[in-house]
Amino acid sequence: MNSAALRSLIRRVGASGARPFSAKTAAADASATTRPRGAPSADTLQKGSVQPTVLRPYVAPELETEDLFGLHSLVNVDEMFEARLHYGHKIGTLHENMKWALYGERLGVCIFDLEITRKHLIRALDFVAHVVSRGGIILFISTHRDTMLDVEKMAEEVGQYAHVRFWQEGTLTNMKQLLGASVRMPDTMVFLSSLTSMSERHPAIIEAAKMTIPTVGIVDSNSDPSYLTYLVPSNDDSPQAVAYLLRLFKEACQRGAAYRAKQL
Amino acid sequence: MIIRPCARLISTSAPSSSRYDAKVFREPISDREQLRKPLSADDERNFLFIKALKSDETPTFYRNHVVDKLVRVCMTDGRKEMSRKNVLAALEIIKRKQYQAWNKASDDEKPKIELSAFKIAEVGIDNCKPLMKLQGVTRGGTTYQVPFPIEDSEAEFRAMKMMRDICRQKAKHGETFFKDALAAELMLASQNEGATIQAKQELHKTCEANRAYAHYRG
Amino acid sequence: MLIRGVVSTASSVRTFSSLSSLSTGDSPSSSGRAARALEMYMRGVKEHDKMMGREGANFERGKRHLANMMGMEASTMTQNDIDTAIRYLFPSGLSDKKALPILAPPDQVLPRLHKLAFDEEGKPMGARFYTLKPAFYQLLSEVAIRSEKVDRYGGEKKTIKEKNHFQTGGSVWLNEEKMAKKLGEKISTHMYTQLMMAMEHLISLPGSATQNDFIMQWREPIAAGSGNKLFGPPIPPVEIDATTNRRTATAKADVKATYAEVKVSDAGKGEFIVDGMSLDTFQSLQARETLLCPLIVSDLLGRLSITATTKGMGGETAVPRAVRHALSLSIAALYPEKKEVLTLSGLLTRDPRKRERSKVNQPGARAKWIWKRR
Repeated sequence: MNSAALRSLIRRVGASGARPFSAKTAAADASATTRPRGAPSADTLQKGSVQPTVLRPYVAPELETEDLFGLHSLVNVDEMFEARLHYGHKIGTLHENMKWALYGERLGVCIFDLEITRKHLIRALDFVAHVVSRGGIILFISTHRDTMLDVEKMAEEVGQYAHVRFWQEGTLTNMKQLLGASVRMPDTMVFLSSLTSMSERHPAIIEAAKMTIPTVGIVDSNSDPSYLTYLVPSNDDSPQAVAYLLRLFKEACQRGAAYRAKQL
Repeated sequence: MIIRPCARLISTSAPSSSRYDAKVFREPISDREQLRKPLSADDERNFLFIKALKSDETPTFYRNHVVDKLVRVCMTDGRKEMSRKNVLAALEIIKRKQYQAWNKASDDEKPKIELSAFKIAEVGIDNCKPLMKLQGVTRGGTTYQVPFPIEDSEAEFRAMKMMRDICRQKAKHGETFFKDALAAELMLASQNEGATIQAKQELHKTCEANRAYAHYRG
Repeated sequence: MLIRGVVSTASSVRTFSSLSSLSTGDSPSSSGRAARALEMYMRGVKEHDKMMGREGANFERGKRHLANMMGMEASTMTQNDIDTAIRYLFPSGLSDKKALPILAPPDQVLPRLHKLAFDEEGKPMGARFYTLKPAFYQLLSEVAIRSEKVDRYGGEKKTIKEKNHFQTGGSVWLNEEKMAKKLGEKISTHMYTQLMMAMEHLISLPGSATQNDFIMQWREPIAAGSGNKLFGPPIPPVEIDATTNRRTATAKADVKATYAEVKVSDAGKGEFIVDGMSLDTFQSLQARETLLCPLIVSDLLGRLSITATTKGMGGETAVPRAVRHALSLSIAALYPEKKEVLTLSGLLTRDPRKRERSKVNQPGARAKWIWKRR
């Protein structure tokens, strides 16, 4: 293909609106056209499966605001350092796909880059808070024996759900048979530790992926980060680290719930 | 313990249970000294039923286990009174003989003579206790007499049974009374002599001879 | 929040329905596959409740008819009365209890519908819902939390007495079936083992006696022998003579086919009359021993006056045994402090032994015919 043809192709593609999304343009679009009411029609959805930008006007205004719940100020690197979030496992157990999250190695121990962790943590907390603000169900999962009871307690306190026990195969994919009736599935699953006590990937990660449930995963240096939607590279073994993370998730859930209560 | 099947079952083989539920019943205490001592707080008998006391186990001061068991072993057709009469008569004979010997003995020999008939009976039976028993084990058509180890209570029973059979032999056809034969046997047995002791030693010899068959056990 | 890119899969229906709910104010239960399934379930629950109501009405009507037939009042009729009436009206030789007719309230007969609890948004009740066994895992968590509490504060004492362990005497853990019934969930053997390990660990900690109430919820007393119940006739009441202030107790006992009634009064001189005859009528030493056994054990020889009457077909030993049992009960009534010694001696237990029946093809109960090889 010659350069002229290529340029015209690009212009045509550009004209159809497949340009990278930006909050400013979205806001401009929204204010320019009147916001449509209700959910998008089946026709619009069909179009949207090919051309996603058609659905942009239906996106709620909350999602266009950066840091709706003020979580940027909640997370800071000093506190994360105090809570020992930067400690990973030994260098020999480092997973190939976790190298991007490391600052480096010290005395054989992997050290997470807390700036990266902070960015991802804020993203995850924000997601969780948004889900809660829409009346979503969060399921907290952890099989870490020292901290599992704390996870359960926190989930109870914020009115969400926890699963810290043996994961029955098919809990999500075969729920109708196991429970005898269809029930509402969790809208998000938060893995405080993505490995089981056998140091294998938790089976719930795959099941959530199969049921298209977005997952938030605290991944340690020895964990496989695949199939998780929102990663948070951090220490998942120290009780102090887990307590810190639980405190933040609790705060995010509470802020989301408060926002929802205000709206209703 | 008499075992009784449930009345509703039509066809029964002898069940291996007792009228007392084993999980919930315990043996009664028939020893005076033990009765005096209080039970500790976490003893299970505080929370379980106790079986009814047998008629011949009243905790009197003269209660003697060996003599009671001997009465039961020597019993025929359920005539316990007859058996007790015989055994106590035998003990009386022993007592009289011992007293006669005591009267005749010199002063330094007197303490060595045992006057308690009960004690003599105990020692006699104890001396007759075999260490092993022979049980028939059939392998490939042949029944081998295999020596087996036995518990103390079974050894006691076998000693009494041997003595009873020997005394019955002696008392057959009315030549001797059973009580006389028993008294003589008990006194001899307490000295490690007599037909019962001989029988026990024969048994031990046979057990030793059949040592090779011991691998047929189990 | 910056969105990376708008979700472009067809299964975004769910996401959009929940996203739009906030902006448009629609309730989530009016749309979505899960919501429809929930509606089906709620309908099923309503139908079940209606059915139970119908069956309950049927039961009440049946009960009224039965009361009419039996000449009883329907309002005062208990389940026991109903059972007796049915057994009378429908006599049956069937040995299988489950094959016999019953009339009982529907919740005792029909299988229970396992009701899942939800709120109006479809959110399940209970944080442990997704574990599929919420009640069981709640118990397990509670045991863990209590163990931790006890562990933290119970380890400072030195001696065993101070260590304050939970007393296991007299009770056993609920078995798998009972535990499952109590929790209302099916429990696998593995889960039960897990629970037992956790409970045993809790008990083993010093200071576990502080959790006595919690632990006893999951234990039951061994049989019925919790100290007060007797195997056999009960201890009779004590009657006090108004004029002489003499205390008397009359007990009834039976052994095989012999029935004995023994009246014991305190402040006596040791009179012992059986069927109008004194003790020396019993020539057998064993009979005399048996009759005096309760007095020997409770150390009351010569202090009571005893009158016994017997009826029935019992043999030589049955009369003394029956009198002994009734006498022990009377002594236990008059002197409650002697009750423990009497129970430990086995004098307050009814002897259940009876003659064993003889079987077909055998000369007796146990004896067999002589076995011939050919």
